[in-house]
Amino acid sequence: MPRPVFGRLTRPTGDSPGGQRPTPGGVVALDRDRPLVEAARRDPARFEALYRKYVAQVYAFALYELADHHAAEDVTERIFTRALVALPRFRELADPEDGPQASTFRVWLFRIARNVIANERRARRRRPVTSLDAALGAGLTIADSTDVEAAAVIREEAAAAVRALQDLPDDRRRALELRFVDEMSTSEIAAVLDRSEGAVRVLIHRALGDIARALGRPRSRR
Amino acid sequence: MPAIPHDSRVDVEALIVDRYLDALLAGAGEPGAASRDHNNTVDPIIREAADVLRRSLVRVHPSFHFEERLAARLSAMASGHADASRPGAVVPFHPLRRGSLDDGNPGASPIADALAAAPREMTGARRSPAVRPLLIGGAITSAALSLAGVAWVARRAVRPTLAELEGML
Repeated sequence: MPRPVFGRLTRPTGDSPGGQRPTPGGVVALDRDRPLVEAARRDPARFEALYRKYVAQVYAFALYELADHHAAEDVTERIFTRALVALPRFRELADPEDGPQASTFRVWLFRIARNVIANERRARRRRPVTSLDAALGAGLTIADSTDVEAAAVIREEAAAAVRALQDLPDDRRRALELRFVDEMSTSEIAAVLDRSEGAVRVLIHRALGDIARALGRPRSRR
Repeated sequence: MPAIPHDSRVDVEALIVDRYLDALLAGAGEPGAASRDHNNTVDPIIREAADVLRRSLVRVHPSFHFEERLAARLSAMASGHADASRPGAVVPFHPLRRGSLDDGNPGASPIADALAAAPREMTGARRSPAVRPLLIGGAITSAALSLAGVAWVARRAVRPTLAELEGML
């Protein structure tokens, strides 16, 4: 079934949630969230559907970034209240190469998240990484309680991976979180982080090399 | 044959890894399918690191208590209760009932017990690539088994909708 065609819009350029402006010419693919966004614009109470769809993704991103359950809840609340207030200023942005699963609302929401979380990180003097370790460890223990040995191995591997992630430079860490936790495409991550797709690919490639080294698997020379 | 510039080689490697991650995270096919398809193209060390991250970086879900509280606050904001957007403002939301998922009492909720006793195939090494672990309130479940969906339906069955909550305001 052919996809609707709309006037081309520019990529996000500023940090302001509603700061993007359309430019004429070209075509774009449909934002998969368009019906929900339009419904929420007509009736703000319908924002709940968007909230339900993305609250876990936003919360998970915040938790990995802040490594603190309470801080993650706090920023998640701020992100969604800000998004609700700014929704009338949201402009749909998409490129055909983003694919049928692309959601520019999700990119827009995560750009808000990136800014709110960055402010929170700046405001925090310390980063209690153990909170995230404990949270993940507890969950894995419960999930695999029938096999203590296997659970211990999984928990140890997960803890090492999280520690390695937390030690990465900010941009590499965020790129991996968005790729693996929120399962974003490279183009979506590029839009969230204000980078080119090529830059994001290299960022992730290098971050995986860092993770491999941190896990005791030095990269082979190819 | 002229040597490939370093920057170009890095770009090509990064592109190949990107394709591998697409296959890995899409979870198409049986376990290890992504690895087999990219066996000769992706650095095995990078592949292993990606596999570890895929297993380890679970998506952590907020507690139902928090999710409902924030939903109520957003609903109040959307309904024109401007004060609800003020930091620290108190907005009405339906109190938790006994047996809800996140009141922390073992045995209080059969669903919570089921989540806590989630079978090992949900998170174990034999997990299908299509099944991503999901941590909810301290217990891991998976999208494939949709326990979270079951929990949500059960929860909504005993709790008022947002529209009903608005009617109470």
